[in-house]
Order: sequence, then C-alpha cells, then structure tokens
Amino acid sequence: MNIKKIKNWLPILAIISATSCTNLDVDVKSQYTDANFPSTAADMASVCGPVYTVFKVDLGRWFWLEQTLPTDECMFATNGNNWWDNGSYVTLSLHNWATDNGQSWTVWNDLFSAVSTTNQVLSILNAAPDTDQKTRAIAEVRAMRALYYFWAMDNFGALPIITTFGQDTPQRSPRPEVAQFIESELKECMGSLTTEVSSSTYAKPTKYMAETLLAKLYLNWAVYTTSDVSNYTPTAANSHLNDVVTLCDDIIKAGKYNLSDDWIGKFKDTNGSQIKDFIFAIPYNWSTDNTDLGGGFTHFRFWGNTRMASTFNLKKTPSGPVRALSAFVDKYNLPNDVRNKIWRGGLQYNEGTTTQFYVTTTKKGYDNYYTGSDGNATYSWPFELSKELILRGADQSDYATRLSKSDLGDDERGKAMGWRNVKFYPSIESTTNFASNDFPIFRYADVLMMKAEAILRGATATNGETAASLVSQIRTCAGAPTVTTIDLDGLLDERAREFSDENWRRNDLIRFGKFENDWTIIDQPKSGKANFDKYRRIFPIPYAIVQQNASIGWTQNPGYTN
Amino acid sequence: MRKTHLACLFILLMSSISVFAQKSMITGKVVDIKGDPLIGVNVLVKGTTNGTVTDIDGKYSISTSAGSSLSFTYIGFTPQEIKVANQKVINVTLKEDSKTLNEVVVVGYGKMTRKDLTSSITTVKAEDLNKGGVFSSPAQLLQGKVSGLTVTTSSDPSASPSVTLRGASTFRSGEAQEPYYVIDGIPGASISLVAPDDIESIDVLRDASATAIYGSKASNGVIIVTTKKGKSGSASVTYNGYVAIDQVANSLKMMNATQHRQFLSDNGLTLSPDNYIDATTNTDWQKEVQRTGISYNHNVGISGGNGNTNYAASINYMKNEGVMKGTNLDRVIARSVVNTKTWKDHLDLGFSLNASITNNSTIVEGDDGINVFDAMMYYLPEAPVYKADGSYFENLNQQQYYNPVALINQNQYDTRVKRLQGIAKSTLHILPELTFDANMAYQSETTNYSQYNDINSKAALNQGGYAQRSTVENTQKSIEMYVNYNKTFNEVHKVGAMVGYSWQENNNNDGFQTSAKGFTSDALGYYNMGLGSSTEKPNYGGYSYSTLRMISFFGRLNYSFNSKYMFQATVRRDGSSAFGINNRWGTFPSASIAWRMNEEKFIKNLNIFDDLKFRVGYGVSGNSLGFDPLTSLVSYTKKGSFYSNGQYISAIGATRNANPDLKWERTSMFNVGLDFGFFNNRLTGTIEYYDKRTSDLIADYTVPTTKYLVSYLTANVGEISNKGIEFTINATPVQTHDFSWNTSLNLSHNKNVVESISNENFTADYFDVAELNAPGQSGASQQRILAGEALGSFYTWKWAGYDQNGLSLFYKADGTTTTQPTAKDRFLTGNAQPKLTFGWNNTLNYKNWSMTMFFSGITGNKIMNATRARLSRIADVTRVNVLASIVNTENSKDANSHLLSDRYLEKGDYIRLSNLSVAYNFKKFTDYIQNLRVYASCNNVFVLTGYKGLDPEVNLGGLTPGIDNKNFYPKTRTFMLGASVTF
Repeated sequence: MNIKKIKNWLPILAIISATSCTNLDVDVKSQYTDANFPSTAADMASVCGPVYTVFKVDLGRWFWLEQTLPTDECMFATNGNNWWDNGSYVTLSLHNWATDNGQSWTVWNDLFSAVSTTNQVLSILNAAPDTDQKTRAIAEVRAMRALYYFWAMDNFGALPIITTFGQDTPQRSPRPEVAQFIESELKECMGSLTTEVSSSTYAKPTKYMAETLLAKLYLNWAVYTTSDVSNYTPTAANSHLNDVVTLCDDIIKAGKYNLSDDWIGKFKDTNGSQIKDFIFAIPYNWSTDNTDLGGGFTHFRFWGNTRMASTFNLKKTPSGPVRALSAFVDKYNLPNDVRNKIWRGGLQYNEGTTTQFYVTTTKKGYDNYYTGSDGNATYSWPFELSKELILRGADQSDYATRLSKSDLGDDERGKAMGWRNVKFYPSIESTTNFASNDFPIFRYADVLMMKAEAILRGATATNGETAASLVSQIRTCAGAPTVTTIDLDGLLDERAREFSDENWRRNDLIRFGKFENDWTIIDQPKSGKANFDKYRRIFPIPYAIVQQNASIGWTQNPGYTN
Repeated sequence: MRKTHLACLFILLMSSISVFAQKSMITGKVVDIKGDPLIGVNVLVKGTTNGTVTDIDGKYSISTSAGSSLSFTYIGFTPQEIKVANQKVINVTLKEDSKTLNEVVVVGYGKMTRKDLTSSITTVKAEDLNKGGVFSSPAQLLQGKVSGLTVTTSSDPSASPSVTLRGASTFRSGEAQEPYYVIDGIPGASISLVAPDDIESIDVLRDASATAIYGSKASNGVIIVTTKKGKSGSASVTYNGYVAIDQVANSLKMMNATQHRQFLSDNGLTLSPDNYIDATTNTDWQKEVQRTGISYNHNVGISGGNGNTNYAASINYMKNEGVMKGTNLDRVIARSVVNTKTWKDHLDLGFSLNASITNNSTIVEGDDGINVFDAMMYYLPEAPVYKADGSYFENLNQQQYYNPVALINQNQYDTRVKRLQGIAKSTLHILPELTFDANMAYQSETTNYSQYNDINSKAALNQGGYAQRSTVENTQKSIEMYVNYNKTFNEVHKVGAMVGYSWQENNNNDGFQTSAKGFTSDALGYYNMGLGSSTEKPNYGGYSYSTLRMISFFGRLNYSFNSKYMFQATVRRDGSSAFGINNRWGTFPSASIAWRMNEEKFIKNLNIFDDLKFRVGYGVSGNSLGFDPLTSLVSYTKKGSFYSNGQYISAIGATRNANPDLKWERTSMFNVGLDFGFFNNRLTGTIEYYDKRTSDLIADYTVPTTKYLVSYLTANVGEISNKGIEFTINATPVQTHDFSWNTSLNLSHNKNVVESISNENFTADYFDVAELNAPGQSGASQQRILAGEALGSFYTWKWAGYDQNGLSLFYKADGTTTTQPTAKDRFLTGNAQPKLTFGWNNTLNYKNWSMTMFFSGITGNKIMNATRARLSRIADVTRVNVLASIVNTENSKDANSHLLSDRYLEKGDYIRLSNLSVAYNFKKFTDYIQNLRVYASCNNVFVLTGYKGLDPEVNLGGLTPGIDNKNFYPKTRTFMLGASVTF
C-alpha cells in the first residue's frame, strides 16, 4: 500500500468529515409548541380560548342527549335498523344503559378533557406576569372548571379532584366533597369576576354566572350530599335554601338582566349578546364549528323530521329520531302561552304560510302494514306529525322485534310519529348537521324560578316576592295567565314549559324524586325493557375508565355491574 | 456431471503429453452447453496481447506455441483456460456463469457476489419481473416472485399496491408497513420516478442481517432497485411499448327491475314513487359506470458511451384508463444519467436528472353511500339514469342514496403530482482496494389537487357548487458518504470493510388549500374560484409544514475464508428528529455467518451438490417510517372560536399530548437459511426459517383525560412476532437444443402473533378495529387486536341460524341465542392472515418462441365480505337493490339479515393464472433492427376460488387486512399486445 497516495486524499476527507453534523434539532415552523408559544397579551387571550371551546361539541350533542333522552321530554326511536347503533341511544331513553355506553364514555372523557384543559391554561396563566387582567382571567377559568365539575358530578357522582395539570389521577372523592370543592372554588373566584354585563362579557363567566351556578348547586345540595343517591327523597332537608334566595336576590338586585326579549326569538339562531335573559351561554356557529371542531349544535338534527327539510326550506335534511312524549306536550296547556309555539305537531304547513305540505308516496309507503291489494297505489299524504307513538307489528314476533329496538317503523307514518320541539329553531342556511343557536346555560328566568322553588321548599321569602309572584313574572313574559298560588308540582310543570330542551329536566326530575316515574314509553315498561331503579340517578363510570384506574382502587358506582 | 468427467480426461491427456515450444496455428470452435456457437468470444494467449474473437459460427484461429495457455472469455460465461500442447484443434464448450453464485448482489452501500453472501437477499432480474399487466409500480412487478413478500394489488389506476414482507409488524398502516426503497443507491428516493421498463434488477433484502445497515427504516425489508445504465460502445436505442385492453373480470349479480318488482310484490312490499318514473325502466348500474379500458405505454431509451463516459436516457409515457368511468392515470417519466471517469481514472462521476408528471382522476369513495362502488350495487334498477329533461334522476328524500352515474359526472377529483430529482454520485478510487463514495440527492414532489362538485350534485347539496384546490410540496435532501475497503490476502482471506455517514432532511407538507362555494354555473368547474359568492370562510386545510432530519453512522465488516467460511457484521447508529427528546438515537447491529459446505472435501466428494450453503444471521432494525415528525410534541393549534371582549376570536389550544420518550419500533430477526444447487445448478433452491420480533410498537394508547389533555397518547408499547418458513426452488427440467422449460416455485408460510399490547405504563386489554360503518351498526368493530392472536383477527358476532319467525339469531356470550346481540356477544371467528402464499412461474422456450405461465395464490385466510352483507339487507329492499341470489339465501322477514357476523366471513383461498404470455424473438431482424420481440399476453386469465365477492384479492396490508367493504375496485382482465425493439 502506498501511504503517500492516501495522504493526497486526506485533505478532501477532512473537509468532508468536518461538514458532517449530528444536529437533530429542527425548527417547528407550522405549529405552536412549548418552544415557540407566543406570549403577547392578545395571544394570552387566545390561550384561554380552549377553556370555552373544549366542551362545546360534546355539549351540542352527547351531553345534551345524555341529559334529555332519559327524561319525560322525549324518547329516542329507531326506524328500521337506522340509529340502533348498538342501542347506545335507545337505552338512554329506557334507563337501561350499559356501563360501556358510548355516549356516556364520550361525555366523561370530554368533561375531564375540559378539566385538564382548564388546569393547563391555569398553569400558563399562573406563569404570566401579574396584572388585573390575569387575576380576572384566572377567576374566569376557575369558574369554568367549577361548571365542568358541576356537570360531571351531577352526572357521575364521586369524582377525582384534579387541580394541577398532569398530576396522576387520584382517588375519587365522595360526591359531597366534590360539591364542597365546587362551592369553595366559586366562593373564592367570585370576587375577581367582573360585574359588567355587556356584549364584551358575553359568553364569559361573570360574577352573576358564578352566583347562578352556586345557587344551582345549593338548590340541589340535598341530592348531592346524600351518601347514596338511591336513598335521596325530595323532602330531604337542605341547609342551603336561604343561600339560594340570597344569591338569586343579589342577581335580581343588580338589575342587569330581565325577561323583556321576545320569548321565541331568544332561542333562534339570531340570538347572542343582546339577549337580556342569558346570564351565561355557549355560542355556536354552524359553519366555523364544522370546519374548526368537526361538530356543533345538533338539536334540530335529532328533533327534525326528514320532511321538515321541505317545510322549513332547509339545506340539510335532519334525521329526526327524537320524538316528544305526548304527556310532556300536554303540559303546554296554558291559553295564549307563546311557549306552546315551540311544538310542531298535527298537520304540517310550509313554515310561515298556510300552505299544507303533502308527501307523494304509496299506500304501503305511508304504512308498511297496509294490507289492501292496492298497496302500490300512489298516495298523496298530508304530512302530519302524530302525537301518539304507536309501536306496530305484522304479528307478535314482528312486534317483539320492533319493541326490542324501540323501532317505530321505517315508513312515513312511523317516521312522522311524535311531535317535534323546534324551540332551537333551525339555521335555514346551514349545509351541515349543525346550527348557529347560542345555547343558554344559565338564564335570568331560572334565577327567578330557583328563588321560587327555594321559598316553596322552606326558604324565607324576601323583597315581598312569593313563589307565585315569581312564577307569574315568567308567565307574563310568555303571555300566559298569572298564578296566585303555586305548589311544587305546579312549579315543576312550569319549569317543563320554560326550560324544555335546555338540559335541566333530568336535574329537576331527580331533585323532585320523579326521575324513575313511568312516563310510558310505548309498552317498554310492561315488556321489562325499561328500568326504574333509583341508582340510575347517576350514570356509571365508563367501564374502560374503571379498568384504567382499578389499580388505584376505583370501583363502579353502586347498583351497576360491569 | 458428464462434462466434469470429460474435463478431467482432457486434463489427464494433456499432462501426459510432452511439451514442445514451437509456433503453430490452432483452430477450433466455441459452443455453449447446448452446442450453439458462441459469437465474439475473446480468445487470448495468456500473458500476451495476441488474441482474436470467434466468428459467426463460433470458430477461431490463432497462432501460438505449445506450452502457452489460451484463455476463452465471454460475458455471462465462466472463463476457461486451456494449455496448448501439440493439438491443432481446440474445441471449447463454455459453461454459463452459474447465475446464482457469481451474480452480483446489491447490498446496502456496496456489492457482493452471491456466493459470499451471508444474509437473505432475493434478486429478481428484469426478465423475471411480472409482465403483461398495466403496471405503474415496482411492487406490482414483484407480486408472487419473492417468497415472504406479500403484495396485494388493485385494478384502480390510482391505487398503490400494499406490500408486506414477512408478516405485519406494526399497528400503524400506510408507509409504516411498507418496505424501504433504495433506488440506485439513493435511500428513500421516490419509486414513482422509475418506469418499469427502466429497471435492470431488484434486490429484496429480507432478513435483518441484510437490512440492519439501513437501521431505523429497515424493519419492513429493503427493496433496492437498480436501473439500466449505458454501456460503452455504439449508441443503442430501445423501444418498449404495449397497448392493453382492460375488462371487468367479474360483476355481482344484482336483481334486475323485473326480479326486484317481483320480489317486492311477492312479499307485499312497494316502491316509493320517488324511486322510479315508469314501469319499464331496467338499469344495470354496474354497466352504466363501467367500461372497457384502453391503456398504452411507450418507453424509448437511448444509451451508449465512449471511452470513459457513458450515458443513458429514457422517456416513458403511460396512460391507464380504469374500467370504472372517471378513473384515469397518465404519467410521463424522463430519466437521464451520465457517468464518466476522470482524474486519471481515479474518480467516477455520475449525474442524473429524473422527472415525472402524474395525473390521475378518481371517483368518490366515501362513507354513508357517497361512494360509486357502493352506489352501482345499491341503486334501484327501476330508476333511470336520467329524467325526461336530461338531468340526472335523484331521489332527494332518500338519504345515503346517490345515482352512481351522477356521482361520477357531477364530481371531479383530479390530482397532479410532479416529481423532480437530481442526483450526483462520485466514487474516488484512492487505492485499488480502497474507494470513497459520496452521493447527493435532492428530490421535490408537488401535489396539486383540484375538486369540483356541481351545483346539482347530491354529494354537495345546496352549496351552490363547491370548488377546492390545494398545492403541497415535499422535499428531500440527502448526503451519504462511505469508504469501502476490499482486499484478498494470500488468495484465501477476502476482507471487506465499510464505514459511512448519512444525512437526510425532509420538509413535508409545505402548502395550502382554499375553497369556494356559491357558483351560478358549473361551466368553469374549479378553474375560476373567485366567482364563488359564498362569504363562508374558505377551507384552508390542515397542512402543517414539518421538518424531519435523520443522521446516521454505519459500518460493515466482511470476512471470507476461501469462499468457504463467511462472516459479516454491521452496525448502524441512527438519529431522528421525529422522536422524543429522550430517545433520539438508536443502535442497530447485525451479525451473520455462512458456511459453503460444498467446498468441503467430504461434500465435494459426494459429487451431488454444486452449491450447498448454510447461513445464520441475527440483526436488529427499526421502523420509523410513516411518521409525523411532530408527534412527540405538544401541539397548539386552533380549537374553535370563542368570545373575548365581545369579539369572536380563535382559541389556541393543545390538541396532542407530548411524549418525550417516543422512539422507533424495534425489530430483531433471527434467520437460518440453506441454499442448494444440484445437477450443474439446473436445480437450485433455498429454504429459510425466520423468527422476527418487533417490540416498542407505536400506537395511540387510551390515557385518562383526568391526567392528559386528550384521551390518547402516542407511545411505544406492544410487541408482535412473525415466524415463518420460506421455500424457493428453481429448476430447468428440460434443456435441449431447441426447447427448454424453466420453472420456479416459491412458498411462504408466516405465523403472526400479537405478543403484547401492554407494558408497565400503558395497559390495554385489546384494541377494537375495523369499524365498517354498516347501516345501524355504528361502533360495531369487526376485528380485535389482542395479545396471543394475530393481527387481522376477526372478532364478530356468531350467526346461529333463524328463530321460529325467520329472524337471524346470534350466539350470546353465555351460549344462548338472541336476535339482538350486543358488543359483548362477540367471538374470535377467523383470521385474515394467509397460511401459505405461493407463486409458480414457468417459462417454455422453443427456438425463438417463448411462453410464460405464472400462477399465484394464497390459502388459509378469511375475508369479511361486508359488501355481501350490505347487499343482503332484506329490511331495506324497498329502497335499495339487493343480490339476486337472496331469493334463495335469505328469509324475507329477516330484519337482521345484514348484521355482520361470521356468516359473512368467507374463505379467501385462491389460485390465479396471473399471467399467460407468448413472445416471439426475431434475432437480427434487419440491419437496422438488432432485436425485435413481440408478445401477446393475458393478465388475470382465471381465478379459482370459493369467494363470493368480486375477487378474493383484497388488501392484506394495513392494520385491518382481509376486508371487502363495498369499496372494491373491480378486478380486471387485461389483454395486451406489445413489442420491444433494439436498434
């Protein structure tokens, strides 16, 4: 070997090896990471954003269905095999949901995702320089965390209390401790929240939002602090009733809210910061929610009959598996009550006209069970939503099959069963399943009703107001006759009329001890399909979550078997 | 063996004759083993420049003296040396180079002869690659040719085949399951830049001792493609071309209008007036959307060279018209390479520039019925294609129901991909035994996507038309340098060593998208988006620019003693920016030994084996392909909008949990192989056994949102094993002067087991996968990944016949039956993994004729025929069409007829005559045409199978193999006429 020859090449090799590098740190140019996360004031505002959007999609669909389907407002029906989906919806209406129910699993995950998000945002805010804005922002985020905890506790009972981002999952604290945690959080942050009520504080927690939430917590205090929810009775003592009145009075006295808005108009997709009744609302937009979040506000997708695409002149056809129960519709029995207008039932007209809408079908197409020989004959059927839900079957076995899936039939008649709640009037322009109605979480009307209920339950009346006078305020604004006296049952019915489809019915029925009543979901109770056990006042912890935490001693809620 | 005896005799004869040193003229004839004369054989008096070549009859004459030696050399043949005594005539029979032994095998960063190989590498030469189909990808060329390599192809012009080597070893799909491609020494180069006609050979690196040199990218095997190069000599021009006719090989027998109306009336059912216009229409929707596809391919190449410089360039144009209307591909590829020797022959330089443009059009293939493949089956035959006024017939009141002809014609999806690649290669010959290589490559790939949905398209209803366009560029830069040292000491110690360095950076997803709605006319399609009147915010897409940098150091050591005992060791240290900050570097070693037993006296004396080699190897490689480089980081991005001080602004929030420990999947593989050759290597073969274990599998693990921001975390947890046996045999059973028959058969068996999906940090009992979006069965998954079972294990309901009312019954978990099974009533019901995969090729040559027959197939696998389930849905018969056969198979009252269960799990065994072709070779056609070969070929001649769907060749790659879910592109039968010409 010629060493000299190698020497000739050495400089070249040296240059090459000098240019070699081992640096693996690359810039992240297109996404914010911890390394390049912005820190301007405007950015800090954006940082808080996820606190308000993290649960929005769930609230617009799964959480709403989970609060609403198990109540007397409605039932979930399938047509043919459509919407059966392993029974995850139907079983909510029948109170026989399983521990691996997909809806419930989503709600749990999303609620705690919301809690983790608030904790993470708090850790970012805590690290930022001290300003007044920072104090208020932290209070707002904590108020939101209290709200998410309130919903989670109301649904699932005992919960892990997590206040630091990334901490290991702790034991579940008993429900009363969770209630106390929410109480203390609200009390602590209330002073730092704004008392300004204007378009600039719309959809943000104000002091009044925190007060309303605390009043709600106190009104249900007896439910939340019972050691076993099955043992709760509506007559159980509640030490916080006077606090409910005090909190409500504080909001009333502030004079920043009133019931002057057009009642029907305040739930339409044109609603927003101008609504004087809304103490706290989650805003929705059918277009941006779809592109940014892939979900949104879906009430009409589930309430609207497919033919309503024509009568409402919609761009997106609704699916309509949610049907009102006639007994609930019957609660809307007050003369001149503007709230009666939220229902669509009976013969249907093109919206805003007197033109009746007809569906061209066949006799069989209208009714699968038609037995005449002219089943093929064309039938121009006047589109009519029947009030009664009638389960049909060609014979016993067919009937049993349909019963097992709450199947009202895959024909025009079956699909048109049940009145429809159009309180959250559809967004006509929407080409998605989503709508632009802002969804109210807390309303001034609820503050008045909570005070009325607290008084009926034994709180001291204040400011010369009685339960009847408070309820009458609500009624007057709806154009309904006022009352001179009212009892708890009357108040619950008034709540049904005022707050239907606003997620409160389940909470109300549990507090009134009526969540297990048989509101006759077509033959299901007598067939044994429906369940009336009181342990279902809270949902099971999703099976997979119990498994995940079995090693630290998590167990299933009482009554449920995995 | 007879030849060996003759040779021995010859040598004996010569040694017994005394030597006289006198010049004399020697003549003779050189023939091959068949007795055919060899033209142009170099005949040289050894040690002199005195030489000649054989003439057209193979004859030569040369003047030399006794005692000298004549050497006979000819490309592709084993050289022979003959000592000259006093004979006047020396006739020589040259033996062809034993292909398998002296064949040059491309290993990573170097070359070796096959006999020195210690690892498992299969080489497929151009002439052995699949032909006869309209192929656009090298994987299609390899289907059935390499044992252990499972390739499933689709007839969709735009689809790429799925390739799995020695069993699936990842939970991820796409690129993560594909082999790593190295093209002409450039790792990670785009395979779409290589036209099939430009391929010289393909080497498939199968075991870890071969692949480990590519470290963290190699665990799915490495496929090395070598393209054709120019040779010194006069310019040569080649043309390859074909025209092909594709026909739909099979269609499903749906009910026609008469049958459907009859079925309805027999069962007391009626059709909605929305679904027909008159009583006479009878539309065959499959026919309406299908056609005979005409495809062609032209490839012109020029090559040549002079002295130290050679060049090659080619242009390929291909047009592939799919059998589904609206599916097309056309592609042009241009390649050029120039090589030269300079610096007193010390430096080899090679530059190449390659480019391609691919256009393809696709048709809509979505869920919820927005799918042409689904719609052509479900659409009612009573419905016409058009209404009387010429517009498309649609039933707007029926959801998940779309006129398939309208779906094709009212929705355009066009993609154009441009690829450009520049390569500079250099080899510095420092010493004869020491070389330094440096290669640089820069590649850019730009994808332009354009979509337009007509104003009246039901797929985008009430939007006033929808246009969307995007452009995205991916670039890749790489620099590799390595030093090779090869020397043979004392003629028996062959030593090789190599060390190298590699740097690669990919910048992906550099692009944007926009959209517009609210058009008044469809006339301009997506070409003038500014005309859209919608004020909705455009859809900007989710393009997220990302940089991936990978740096590696690697080395290899070879030692061979007398080509009898061989040893090889490699090591690679890989770093990648894609992984968590705590786990950026990994080491991938391998070692292997081989023993050529036929060189041992005791074997040699048996006179049976021409080759007998035993190989053992073990190595570790990794999988870091198909990975978003930002996965390990928390990412903050837009999470909707919220009100802040009365303004609706973007919320910026975390959408992914961070995992600083994230790293590559790690595969260790043990491989034992035995290569053998008998009868003058007319029978050769290989048997291999491997045990491949992949750990640290990357998957999205469910994590509690009580601790994390989102409910999943990408982490390394599971373990998969693949064990298998592969058997390859090549034989020439008949070899006469005019006729020969070559046959080769490969068989492979692989057993895949998911060993674990938990570790100390993450536990999962199972992952449910393959949710097929079947009607009313949202959330019902059909496969389960669980420890102890193979990937692709079907976990389904079990059909139990009918109850007394004719309703489908299913077994419950407790053994009783129900008409309403739940998620808990599922069972392991079969597996999508084939037990045996095989390919059998036969080539028959008779004079200038040659014929090939290639069979391929698999056995022992199951397919979930969700298409059949969907089309057996009696409960929906008034609204959608069903299979004609359901009259005999289904109970008309059965509302559960379509529920996915083991009833729709079918055997996927098949044998296919993949290709039958006949070619004629005109040797020396005219003075201008040196070679002309014309051929006729039929691809997918027939398939023998019991499978009830369109074709049993469903995708066997990915996470959810073996599923036929109403999106199957019809398999085609191809008839082709082609020619190759060399000028």
